[in-house]
Amino acid sequence: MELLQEAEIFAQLLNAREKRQDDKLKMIADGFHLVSLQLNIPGLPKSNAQLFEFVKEVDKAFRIFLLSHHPNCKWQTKQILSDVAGDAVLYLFKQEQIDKNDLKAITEAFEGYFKLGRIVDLDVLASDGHPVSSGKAKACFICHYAAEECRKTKRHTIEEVRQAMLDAINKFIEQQKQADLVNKVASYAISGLLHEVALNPKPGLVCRNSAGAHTDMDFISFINSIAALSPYFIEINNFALSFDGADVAKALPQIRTIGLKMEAAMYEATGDVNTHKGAIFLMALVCFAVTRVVKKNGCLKINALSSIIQQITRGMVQKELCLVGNDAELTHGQQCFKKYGLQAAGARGEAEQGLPTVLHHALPLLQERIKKPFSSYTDVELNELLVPVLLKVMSLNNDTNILFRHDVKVLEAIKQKAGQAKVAWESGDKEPYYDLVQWCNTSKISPGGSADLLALTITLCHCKTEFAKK
Amino acid sequence: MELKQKAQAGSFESSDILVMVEPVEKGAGRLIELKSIVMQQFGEDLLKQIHANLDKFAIADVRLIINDKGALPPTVSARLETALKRAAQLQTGTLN
Repeated sequence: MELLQEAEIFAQLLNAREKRQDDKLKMIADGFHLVSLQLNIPGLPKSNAQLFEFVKEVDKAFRIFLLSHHPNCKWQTKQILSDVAGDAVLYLFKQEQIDKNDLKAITEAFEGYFKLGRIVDLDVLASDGHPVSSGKAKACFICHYAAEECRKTKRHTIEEVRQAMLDAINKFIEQQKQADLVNKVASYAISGLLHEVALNPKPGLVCRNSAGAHTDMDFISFINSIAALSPYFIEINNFALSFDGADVAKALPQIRTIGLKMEAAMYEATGDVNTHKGAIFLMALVCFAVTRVVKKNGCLKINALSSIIQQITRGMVQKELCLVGNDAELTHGQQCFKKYGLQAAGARGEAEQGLPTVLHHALPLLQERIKKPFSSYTDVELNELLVPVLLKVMSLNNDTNILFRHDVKVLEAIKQKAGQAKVAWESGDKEPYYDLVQWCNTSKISPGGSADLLALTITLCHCKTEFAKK
Repeated sequence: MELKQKAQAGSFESSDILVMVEPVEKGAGRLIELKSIVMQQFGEDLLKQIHANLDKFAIADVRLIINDKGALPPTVSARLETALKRAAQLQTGTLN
């Protein structure tokens, strides 16, 4: 039975190849050279979802290779074929535009340049109907002999070669995905910070057109700071990929190492002004956690994210806030905690609880309000979208920036005003918000902690969209 | 088998072989033009296989133009058989 099936598939394969050749000859009829990109994988099936995904990756890489190495060599049309003979991408080049031998040289260069070039066949069929052959023998995928020789002498079994190729393809796709993940999460972190500072006007905070309650920093300080922080998000994400311990709490010192480098870069870029200290701490944790969760699950699960952040920061409030001595040189957050207790646990408290303000309040609100892709929002629309989210955070957050510079009364007042302004804003009355902006600016009250949480919320909103369950 | 017309089978695809068959006068013998990417190591084996197939179909006179892209023996035999049958009008296909 199995033998019969194999014979049947073999016949289908031979037919498919003949048909493909016929189709190719028809395609070049109007004066085209044809390049066909196919995989050279022994055994069956010739095509499946994984192989098709790989073909698409090779196609992408070939396009970039052509554009970067031969900018004048452009194909006229491209077509994707899938049948029992496998997947093929066919590119047609006008014969007046490029010599067939040059085209062959380019495709060979690509096969040499592309990491898994030995699995890929780029054949050139000239407009005269003859294939352009280089006569060069390809090396075997497994040993150093010529591939054809190994095939003919059956030096390796078909299964062995096929498995080696499939493993290599799997690894390649996995690496592509991870590189993509690292870049995307980093870019979303930067986007969160940029959109937070760009939102205008904001109560007491540095914005595009105002330094708010601040005298030592302005919009430019933030631009400089974010630019200086940018490269480190890649570093954190790469660390998250490579960290393979089961106990993520052990990752904290390394995350802090990167965080401290970021702080130094920030101070250097701003002339010793603290623009993003709290944001660095939280954003570094979020980047690490998002990268890890998506790597593990293939999508972003909020519960898993929250849990990782909790595990990393477990006991942090106790160790770093409760147990610090009196004579130690204390940060603003630590001084606040001494004075106000748990209410002033700040960024550490938010992290140790698994970002409840962001994950249970701000993010659901933003996701509920967002009606189209974030990138399609205009400046004015973004203002409309984000102000209520900031107000929501302000109405809940025990902002240590405020506790440190003012007191509990001011904090409670601002939480209440923010709550009222949010309700008013959502019913179309923006006056209370502008009053709040005015009040904070003149009273020099700056809810910097809430601004950090807004940035995180924007970042996570991007992540949630990109890494949604498929 | 009596060859009546020109015919071909196969393709230029990797691991395939393109076989063209042309009837010739009786007594002309087997005129075989063979090109292969593995000519050096496996040319002899290929020729041997082709002759064996021609013997099987009792063909003494024929012109064969063969371009091999590294086909394995089962593919070689299948393509040659199809090309011959097409030339004998026993099967339809390319160039009929």
